[in-house]
Amino acid sequence: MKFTKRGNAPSMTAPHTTKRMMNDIIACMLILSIIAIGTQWYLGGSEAGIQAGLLIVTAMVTALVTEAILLLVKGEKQPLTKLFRTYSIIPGLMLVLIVPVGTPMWVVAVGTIVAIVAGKFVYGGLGKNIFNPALVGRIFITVAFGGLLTTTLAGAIDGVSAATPLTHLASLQNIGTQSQIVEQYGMVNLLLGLYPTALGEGASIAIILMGIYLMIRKTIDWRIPVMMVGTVFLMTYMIGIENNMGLWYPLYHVMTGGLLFGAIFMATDLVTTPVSRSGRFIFAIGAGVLTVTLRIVGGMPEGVAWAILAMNAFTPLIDHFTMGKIRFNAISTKMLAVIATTATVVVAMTLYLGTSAKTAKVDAQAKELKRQEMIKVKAEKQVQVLNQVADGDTITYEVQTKGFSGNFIVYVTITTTTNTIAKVEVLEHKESAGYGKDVIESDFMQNFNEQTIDDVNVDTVSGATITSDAIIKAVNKAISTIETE
Amino acid sequence: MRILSELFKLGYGVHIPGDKKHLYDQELQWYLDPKYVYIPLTNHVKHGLRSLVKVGDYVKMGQKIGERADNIYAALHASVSGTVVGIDKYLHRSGNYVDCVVIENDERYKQVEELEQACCLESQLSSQEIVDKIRESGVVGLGGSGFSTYVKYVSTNEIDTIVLNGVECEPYIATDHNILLNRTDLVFEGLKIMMHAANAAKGVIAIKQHKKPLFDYLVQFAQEYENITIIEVPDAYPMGWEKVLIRQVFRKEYDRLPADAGIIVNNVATAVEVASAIRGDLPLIYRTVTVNGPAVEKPQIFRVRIGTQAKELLALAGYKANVQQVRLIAGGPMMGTIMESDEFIISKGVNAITCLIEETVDGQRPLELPEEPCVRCASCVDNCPAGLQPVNIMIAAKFGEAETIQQLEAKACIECGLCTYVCPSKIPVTQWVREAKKVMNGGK
Repeated sequence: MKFTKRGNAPSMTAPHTTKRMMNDIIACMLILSIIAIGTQWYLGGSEAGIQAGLLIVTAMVTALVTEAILLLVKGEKQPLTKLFRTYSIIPGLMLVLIVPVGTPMWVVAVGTIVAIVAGKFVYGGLGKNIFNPALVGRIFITVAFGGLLTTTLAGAIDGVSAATPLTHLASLQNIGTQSQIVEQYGMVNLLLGLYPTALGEGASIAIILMGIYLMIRKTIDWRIPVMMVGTVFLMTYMIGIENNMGLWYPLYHVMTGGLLFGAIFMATDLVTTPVSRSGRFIFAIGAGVLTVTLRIVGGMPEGVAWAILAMNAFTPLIDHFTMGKIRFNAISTKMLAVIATTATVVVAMTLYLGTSAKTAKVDAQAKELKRQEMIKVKAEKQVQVLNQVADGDTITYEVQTKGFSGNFIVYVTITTTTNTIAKVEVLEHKESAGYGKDVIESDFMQNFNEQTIDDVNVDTVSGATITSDAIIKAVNKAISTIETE
Repeated sequence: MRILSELFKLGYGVHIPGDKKHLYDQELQWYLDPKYVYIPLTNHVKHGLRSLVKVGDYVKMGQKIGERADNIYAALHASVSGTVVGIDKYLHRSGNYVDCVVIENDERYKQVEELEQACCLESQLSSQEIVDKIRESGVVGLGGSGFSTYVKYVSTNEIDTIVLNGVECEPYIATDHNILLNRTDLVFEGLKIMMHAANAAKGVIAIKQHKKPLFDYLVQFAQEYENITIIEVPDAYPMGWEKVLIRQVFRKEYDRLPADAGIIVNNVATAVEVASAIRGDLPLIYRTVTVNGPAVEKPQIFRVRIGTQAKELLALAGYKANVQQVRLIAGGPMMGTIMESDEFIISKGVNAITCLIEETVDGQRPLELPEEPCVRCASCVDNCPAGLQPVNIMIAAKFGEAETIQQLEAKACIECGLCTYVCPSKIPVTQWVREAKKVMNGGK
């Protein structure tokens, strides 16, 4: 029998491999890609679905081609075997899942190249990078081509990017009622990811299920997502309470804006997070606090991306700080200091953010009131009586008013004996067909007839609010003129 | 506070499949007639113990033939009677070739006379007398450490509990299980003597959970003894390391020795030898050893004389037909040393012989796994029972940063091998930590 001459204990290894961990992540990304195509198809039709598919394929192909070229440049002997051992497809897939569907394909390609070259290769490849490669790519394209990252397809009818839940929230200064904030999308849609957002970030339920699967498989450390999401939940819950908002508010923050995707797939990236558990504690809570901060005072939908990248930058420092042997017997002063500091930061930031959100909301509301006041005053100035002609029992007022496409004249005839409106007419106008023109030519004008001038009751017409309102204002002006005489 | 401790729960080990259930109800095989025995002049820590005999001398069974007189005392005894035919170098379980006293067995097993006198009860002996007897009998830690047992009982002022370690957390080994089943009375007697020697109030025997028949048997046995309890611990590695064991059972930590926590930990096999020594039986000249592993045809547990060559047992156990090359290990697969030949000596510290398949007949090499780059997954950090950061120690070793290694307290590593075991990239992390220790000691 031959015996092994040399070797070192131990001679056994666990069945767990890096390959398995990476394949787990790739599988999750592919499932999310399929969900993304389905979601886009549902929201924007076949065109959007196909566009999503094309973006995902672009990212995968670009990632593999880029890595292949880099391997050839490096002079790798077995480039093909190595190609599937560097797992470059992961940053490609992650990147495409955190861009919106309207992003041009070439932007995704550029982002992927940046992710792999600047995010990974320059540091020495797998295991050596400091920042999450996909986030490096995402932030690069945000900064370089921000305007192109739209949630609707280029060439779509209205051509404007639909508001994501967080831009919508930011437009309300982060504070509002449930109907203002949630009903815009609907609670069920928010849960299912059926709203404008990045390709893979919306499917909250799917992402949570995948997270649990990965935690059970020990591919990711459950502490990071739980603590990061927990921090965001806790902080937004407190901010919600401070501003009279219910449990829906923290849930809205947790479900939207890519927090779950970021916490489960990106903040758990093995390479760019601290190695010690206490280090990961600091990392996860720090990322949570930064996310809420960037969302509330920064008003950035990409708060999660920036927060994780910032904490990536701190990882070497955290690692250095938490270096050394763990003392199992006692909570060390260092650990107490960390816990106390973290708790203080969370509480202080919550109080600060809650208050500043409140102030911002009050300011914004005051501004809005003032603006509406000004508009009213301005509008009233534009409505004026040009002429009046008495003819027996009736007086006809020639009133100028402001419509959608400029001023026009309304003739209001009032019977003085009965104090009723005889008729309202518009002779010349430039209001557009399909909207204001239709109103003027419709029965709407007859609604005024025979109404008592003390109590004119005519509603504006939806779809042509400005025109109908202009007519109502002209009538009221005429009435107020007759009453003062 | 519970949530916090859950968040940071560390250092309780990892379950490793043991592959030893088939040995639990195996009969003990006696292999007591080797032609030659080779008594290594070492106590594992220090080689070159003083030989008390020379070539040509006739020795009796149980006769002291070697000792270490400095610092920590160690005694070696002849395990057969016969003639000393040489003092030559043979392969020892440390992987080195060390001087061994070779005795040709005359198969008459003549005992030393003074050992034939009747025994005494431990209650008639003082603590000091017990310690002296243990010392003279050459009893060492039989779990694998080979550390002289009496040392633990020299100063016992603060000791309140004696723990008998029957956890046996390494895969493939069932030596302690067999001893607990077959030599139960001696285990309990030994524990009683140890408690008496250390003036300890309590005695604990720790075994792994999921061994219901053994547990029930021991619990029943313990009813006849006062203050002895049987405790089950999780089936995890390295639960048998006294630090982890004490952490698990008593929720206590200590810095240097278990005695700091008022506890002495001994292997169950050691307790048997203590009982034998006090009863006036023979000194330590036998031991139980498991021969197991995927390459073994008939895994067995043997009772052998100290100094038997491993190849004699391996010949009885046999190799499987499809094995081309064997990785032979003195001890278990996690901490045992790889032996370059089957001629190594079963010394006091060899509790098992593990045979892994290095290469099959059709050229497969199951132990060779491709190494991948470290992705800093921190599995090694999360699982280190000593609370170290192996990945950081490895990086510091690669850069030769002695100071960083010192800060990372690499010397607290017991080389349990768990970091290599859990590494998903199949990096020999434990070996890197060994390198780090060399760097720290000045590149040697």
